[in-house]
Amino acid sequence: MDYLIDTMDNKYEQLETIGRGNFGEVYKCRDREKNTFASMKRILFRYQDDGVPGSVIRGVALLKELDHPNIISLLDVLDDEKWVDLVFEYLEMDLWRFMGTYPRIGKDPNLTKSFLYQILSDSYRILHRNLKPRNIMVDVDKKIVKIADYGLARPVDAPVAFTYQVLSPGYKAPELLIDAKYSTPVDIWSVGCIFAEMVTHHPLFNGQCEHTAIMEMFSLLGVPNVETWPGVTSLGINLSNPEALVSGVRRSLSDVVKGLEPTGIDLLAQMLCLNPCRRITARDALIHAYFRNA
Amino acid sequence: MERLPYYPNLRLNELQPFRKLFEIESEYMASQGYYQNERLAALRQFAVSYIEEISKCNPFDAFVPFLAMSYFDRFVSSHNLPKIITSNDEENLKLFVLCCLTLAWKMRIRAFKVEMFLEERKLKFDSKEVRKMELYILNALEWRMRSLTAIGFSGYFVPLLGIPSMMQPVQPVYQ
Repeated sequence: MDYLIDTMDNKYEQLETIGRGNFGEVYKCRDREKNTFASMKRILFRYQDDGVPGSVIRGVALLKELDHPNIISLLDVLDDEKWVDLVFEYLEMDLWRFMGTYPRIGKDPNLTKSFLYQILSDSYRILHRNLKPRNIMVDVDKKIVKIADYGLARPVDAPVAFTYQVLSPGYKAPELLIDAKYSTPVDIWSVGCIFAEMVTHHPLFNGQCEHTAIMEMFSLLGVPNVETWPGVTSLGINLSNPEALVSGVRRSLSDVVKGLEPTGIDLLAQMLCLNPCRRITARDALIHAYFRNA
Repeated sequence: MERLPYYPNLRLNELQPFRKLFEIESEYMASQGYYQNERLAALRQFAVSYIEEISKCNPFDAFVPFLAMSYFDRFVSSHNLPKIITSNDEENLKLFVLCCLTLAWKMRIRAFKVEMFLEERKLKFDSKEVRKMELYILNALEWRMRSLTAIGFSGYFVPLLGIPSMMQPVQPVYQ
């Protein structure tokens, strides 16, 4: 059967190494027939006696179900005695670099609106947990964004941010920072941070550690209390002295995210609701007034 | 919340996944004519009894052999058995059935280890052969191992039984 002779070398020409992780290596490659680029993650079988690793089987099976225009897709799975190669759609540019490379086009309000809509339209399907401009890829010509983080057991994630991996508390929801239970609202929070950043081209929160990230959030959005976030006192933050949890001059969202239209500010505020239970859902966000005149 | 006349227990926003399930289900079914094929029925009978024999464990998870059989059906209904153990047809068939089971187990239980599984049952298959067979099955099934089976639909029918709402039915999850 032909799928057995579909080896890496027959189908793809391996180009430079673009990343390395503890699972194996990431290469850029060229589809010989279609003459298109792809990125390829090679996952070595570390335990020889265990057959195909369960994490790889579960991860690939999940990727096979994710067929969405705003997700980097898995194109191929090729195997060898010692490894499997996961071949992904390849896009050169991520959102972080896009904003740096195209300061003017990147701030176009209609483009921001379109990108936000695309990110939201995917995000309710899976729990990503780690959305940030670095793992959102941009097809510059088609003006399409594609998420390259599936929030899965890491070996099968699409390769992103090859150059350096930054731990980014700046995009993490408060409930993640304080170790509370979390669910899909964590992604909406991150998308809110990305939304603000698309408007200003500056990260909304810079927090280098989790403590400063929390302080930045509270300074901008107010310190939560039992009314705004029932149960917040049991989460392990000491709220007895709210003044100690804020820093700098109090500013409002519209001061910080300058240039965003009022409906956009309203949507952003709902996405950045500290209480995850009251945070807007992706479905509701997609029908928010901000998108009405798009 | 708006209710739909023909699906009294489904809200408007729940109908979409329901339709989607039907669409997806067909991708996880055995090919047409499979259940009428007598030769394959005999093969299937062997697979069921062999899986029953080697899936015994404590605690027993009935979904694992069930899932394994869904892989077996999909594979056998549209592919020929690969010859991994060339010297012995019966051993080769056993290896194939066994790998349907190890794959199902891996999908279900993170801590599952093939080596331990073989050891506990005193099975003498080579781990390289197991991996070869697993890869063959995975490729043939296009790595679509999150089978959508009848169980995926149960969440929609349980409410029809009039069970008190506190016993919320489990909704099919795509993750």
